[in-house]
Amino acid sequence: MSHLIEEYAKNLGVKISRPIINDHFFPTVADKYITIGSEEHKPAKHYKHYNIVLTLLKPVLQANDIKVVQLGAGKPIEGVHNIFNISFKQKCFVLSNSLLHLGCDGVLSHAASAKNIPTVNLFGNTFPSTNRPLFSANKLNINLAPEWDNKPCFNVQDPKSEINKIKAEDVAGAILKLLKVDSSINFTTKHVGANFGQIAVEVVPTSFSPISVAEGQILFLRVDYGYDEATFLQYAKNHKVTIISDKLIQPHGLKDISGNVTGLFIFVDPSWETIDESYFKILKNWNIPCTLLVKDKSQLGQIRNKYFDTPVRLYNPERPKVQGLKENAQFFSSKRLLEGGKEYLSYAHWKKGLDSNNKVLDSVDYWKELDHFYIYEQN
Amino acid sequence: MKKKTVLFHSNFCRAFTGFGKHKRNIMRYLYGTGKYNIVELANGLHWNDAQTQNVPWECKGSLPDPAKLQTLNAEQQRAEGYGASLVDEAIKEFKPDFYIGIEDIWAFNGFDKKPWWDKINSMIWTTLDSLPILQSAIDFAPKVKHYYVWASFAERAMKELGYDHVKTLRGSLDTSHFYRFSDDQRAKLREAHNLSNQYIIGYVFRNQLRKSVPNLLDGFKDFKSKVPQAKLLLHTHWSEGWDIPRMIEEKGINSSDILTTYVCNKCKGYSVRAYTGQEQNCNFCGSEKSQSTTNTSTGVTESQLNEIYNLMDVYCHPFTSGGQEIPIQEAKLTELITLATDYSCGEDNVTKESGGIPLAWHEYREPGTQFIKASTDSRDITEKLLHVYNMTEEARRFQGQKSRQWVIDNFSVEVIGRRLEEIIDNAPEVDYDYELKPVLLNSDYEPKSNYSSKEEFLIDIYKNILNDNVDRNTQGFKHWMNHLNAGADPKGILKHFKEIASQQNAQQNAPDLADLLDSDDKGRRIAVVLPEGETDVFLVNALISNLKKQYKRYNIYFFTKSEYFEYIDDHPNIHKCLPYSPLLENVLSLEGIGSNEGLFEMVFYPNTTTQKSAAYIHNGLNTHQFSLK
Repeated sequence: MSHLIEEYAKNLGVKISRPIINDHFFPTVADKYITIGSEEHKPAKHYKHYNIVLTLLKPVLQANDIKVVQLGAGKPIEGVHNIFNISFKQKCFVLSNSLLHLGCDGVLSHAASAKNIPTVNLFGNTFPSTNRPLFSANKLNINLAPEWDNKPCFNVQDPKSEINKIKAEDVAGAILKLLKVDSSINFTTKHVGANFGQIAVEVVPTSFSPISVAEGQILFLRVDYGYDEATFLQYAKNHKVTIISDKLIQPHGLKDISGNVTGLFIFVDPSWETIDESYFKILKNWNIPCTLLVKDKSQLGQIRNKYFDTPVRLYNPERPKVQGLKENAQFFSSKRLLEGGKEYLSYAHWKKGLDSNNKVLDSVDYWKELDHFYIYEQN
Repeated sequence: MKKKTVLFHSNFCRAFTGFGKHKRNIMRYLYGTGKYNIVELANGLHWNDAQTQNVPWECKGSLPDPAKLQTLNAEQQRAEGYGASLVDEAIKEFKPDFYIGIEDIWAFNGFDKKPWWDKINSMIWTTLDSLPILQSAIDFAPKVKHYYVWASFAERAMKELGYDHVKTLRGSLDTSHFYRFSDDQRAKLREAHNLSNQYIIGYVFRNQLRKSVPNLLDGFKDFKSKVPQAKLLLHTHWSEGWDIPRMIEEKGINSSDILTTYVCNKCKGYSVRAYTGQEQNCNFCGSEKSQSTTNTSTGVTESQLNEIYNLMDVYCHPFTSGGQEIPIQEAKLTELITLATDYSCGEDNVTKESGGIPLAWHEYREPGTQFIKASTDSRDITEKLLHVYNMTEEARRFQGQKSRQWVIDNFSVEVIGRRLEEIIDNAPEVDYDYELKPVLLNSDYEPKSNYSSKEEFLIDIYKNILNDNVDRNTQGFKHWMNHLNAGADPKGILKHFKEIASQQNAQQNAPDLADLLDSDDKGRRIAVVLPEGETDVFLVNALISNLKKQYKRYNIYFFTKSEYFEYIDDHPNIHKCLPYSPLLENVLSLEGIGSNEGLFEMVFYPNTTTQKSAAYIHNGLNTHQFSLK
């Protein structure tokens, strides 16, 4: 008996009844909709796979003409139809007519429960028993918690981001169950990379082609993969860019674009002559953070001692491959590698010329980028 | 020959503190030789702090995790701030041949009792700043073979006490950052700061009360009356320590004659000008309220600081006492003539060879510690400033160059690094063929029947009962000698020593909480923690039957102070009654959090709203809806 409200009831010496909120009208477009509460500002409660959940539900939602409404500020979730950044009381109104509410534990799930709206609740930093919705019947609520490594972190920051261990197919399945839709999810999660969800757009600057990216999205210019000066400059003039290079780019080459360069990563080799301190000073004066990259771990200490005041990192250390995958295993990637109008989901795919291909490749290059991938299988 | 492993223990090497910078210099030097496995233990960081990942060598933080820190009292927390516990982990994990601790002496309190201290090559490299030498620094002398101080006055004082093994090894400086600009560059720089026709006296310091700002202002005021173009540049933070604006007003000095350094927290540009308040608009990048006087969170870079020294005509550093006072050496590297108080570490910086000029001082005693402190003579400041002002340009240049060379010869990383190499290379390798368990004291020791003196008796029982190397200068020794000389019975003292040994052994052997719990009830344990109160314990006794009824499968462990055991220990549903400890006041640690699986499934603190916070009284008016009987 460790639910929050029970603690408060004991403290006040009274029994639990129901909360009273006067809803404030807010116009909604759709007749049938479900709501999602995204808690982007609370990292331990921020579920990154809502977009995959919606992808899995898309056929069912379309077939039943059910829309998806995102409640709250934050980045739009791919697949939602409306985003309402409105007051709590307006949200309560929107919840009143919702078919189901999906979100992490918190005030919206309790509000939905108080209105007998079915809820699917994700728990990232506490046990479901401490904060599950309890104003409605248990059958109206499905509470999903990850397989904790040990115990929850009980904190707004979760270094392990455990909420993201909740599989998208489990969330989608719970929604179908509560919507009482006769359908199943043909999807099995096999691996979720630690950085999956952090969008990275890489561009090989060999020929220019306009790119559509979200506002403020930084392009990583992979000069180490290929380089054409005019193309490089064109991208850098049109976008905020971070440059990754295996050659030392002379400062004058960056001067005109320095306002758009948000970072510079340089692969260094011990055989190089020492990069003069003035080089880093110029970059600092232009507010361009510089990081040196090393591919060989045995050289890391030596390079760090040489360039003590500049961050030095080991680049993409090898990762163990995911075992037991079927041949038809596929993946989502939070990384896009673009060249000449073509799009690749990994460096390994780019290297093999496999654009618009989402099949898992069994190669060292592929596994090195595993942190960015969500691998799954379908029958 | 295998590479020796050297463990450096001090501030993090990227910290902008005197210790941090010194550690960084020395570690980089030794790492660069390729001769050693360098390991860093960084005070102020947690064991696996992300910052430990971006250094060339193996690095760990010495601070326990926050949950553990919360359970400690203030004294224990202070000790943990210096790595009192995790230094043992570092020794265990890295098995160093050489331990080098670089900190104030009190950071090493108790280290000499650690099981590894005498087994490996342990070195203390500490700053001492006043006379008489701090007693704890004296107490350490017989206990450490490699004992180094940063200033020669401390070495001399220790030698006078008979500790010939204490030597001076100065804090290292990266001399490449500081140098004199050409005359042309200096002229341009001064022009840029509108200081072309001024005579600049500089002082670079952290605004602490031990920096003699009032004395300097007095000396400057007098000097200014004789040299009207004089300005005083106080490169410091004006919102801590001395209230400089008030003092300027009080002394009737024109505020435009006192300059300071403003730094912009946005563009990092700096400007030297008269003080006009904090959070000024930046004259470089245009940001609003972004410029404040230089401080520990927003300061100038080494290269900017070099420029600031190059704006000066003379450097003056009056202080009450100090460990090394690095700005004096930095100023010398820029070939300035330096004036410093002729006391403490200042003595080294005003010798003839150093090219510095001594400032006379008057003795006063610090209340409490009774340390000798120096109040610098303001008239002497004026006189010495006039002396430098009247020197020929050639004489100034000659003395400036000499000063620079002296710093390079005595403080440069290479010089200090080479000396350290010798020390490490001459030390034996260490075989970790012993267990790192706490050293047990010998309460069974029987002293011999005939000692030649009371001193011999005391030193012997210290050594053989308490495993403590003391001598005639040690505080504890002096204390017991006074007792003996006053007629105390040696047998009584012997008994007392044995009791202390027994108590400390008992503490060392005190079982972990986990050892007090049954081994077969993991996953079904409840703790009830109620430290005190006969009434409180007795009332909670009345709840235990129902607690057991509610959680039939669970064993109930009750924690209270031993004097309250009798109010509850007969209850048949109490599985074990155990002594209360403040360490139990951490529910998440006991129930588990993150990777810590905890010891209990449930921990109850019934005194939370009664004793910790009397939040149950409500003037006796509140009622409730529960049926509680």
